[in-house]
Amino acid sequence: MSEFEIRRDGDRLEVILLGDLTASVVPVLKPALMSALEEGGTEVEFDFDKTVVIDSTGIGFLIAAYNSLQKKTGTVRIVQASNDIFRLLQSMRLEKRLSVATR
Amino acid sequence: MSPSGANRSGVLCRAIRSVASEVDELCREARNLIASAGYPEEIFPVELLLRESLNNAMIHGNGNDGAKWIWAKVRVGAQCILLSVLDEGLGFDCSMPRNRAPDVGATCGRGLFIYTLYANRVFFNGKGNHVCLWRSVIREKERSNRE
Repeated sequence: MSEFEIRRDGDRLEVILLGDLTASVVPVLKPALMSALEEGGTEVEFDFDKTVVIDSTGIGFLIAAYNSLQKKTGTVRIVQASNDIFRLLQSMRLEKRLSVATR
Repeated sequence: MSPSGANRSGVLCRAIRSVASEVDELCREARNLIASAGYPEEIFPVELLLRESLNNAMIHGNGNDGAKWIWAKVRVGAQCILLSVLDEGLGFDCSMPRNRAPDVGATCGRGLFIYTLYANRVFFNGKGNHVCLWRSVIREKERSNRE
């Protein structure tokens, strides 16, 4: 079963996570997102509605996506984050960089 | 959770191979253990601590060698949750500072910082291939009684 879906709406990509964003998911998600971005897109939105846990590998992946998109003046957003995930990202001073919105 | 509010304790002991799917499975078991012990608010911090220690063991300790073992224990007690993770690696210099958040643009290096965020006590053996993490807890029922 796939652990995410990627949907395109013009220049905007929506990454819907169907579970946690961890070291087992990133090696599959990263090339899928890179491939989608190669076909175009400057805005990526991650939907965390079904995500309970994100680990440091998942955080590193989000920062890598941000760094990559920033080079073409793109943006990364996280929506539907739990309060736990928001506080974790806040403690790392990443909540503004990743435009995190909670549930 | 039991109707009375909580089990009194629980222990999970596993030896797993250094592969991500086994880390996921162990974390699922730990999540269930913590929930059934009456600590639903501890699922996020404890699973995160466990994942980080298992990832460190798998990636840095055992070098992603799927033939190498990781030994993990989760002990849920009345006042704290203890995590213990041991790998087959050569260890690392655990005296390095880990209480500062890495640069916001860094794509790695947050694992040890997460220990300091969520664990009350962190202990490494001298070699650096065995970490023990303590987290103090208050059961939901006791928390509501205090409030």
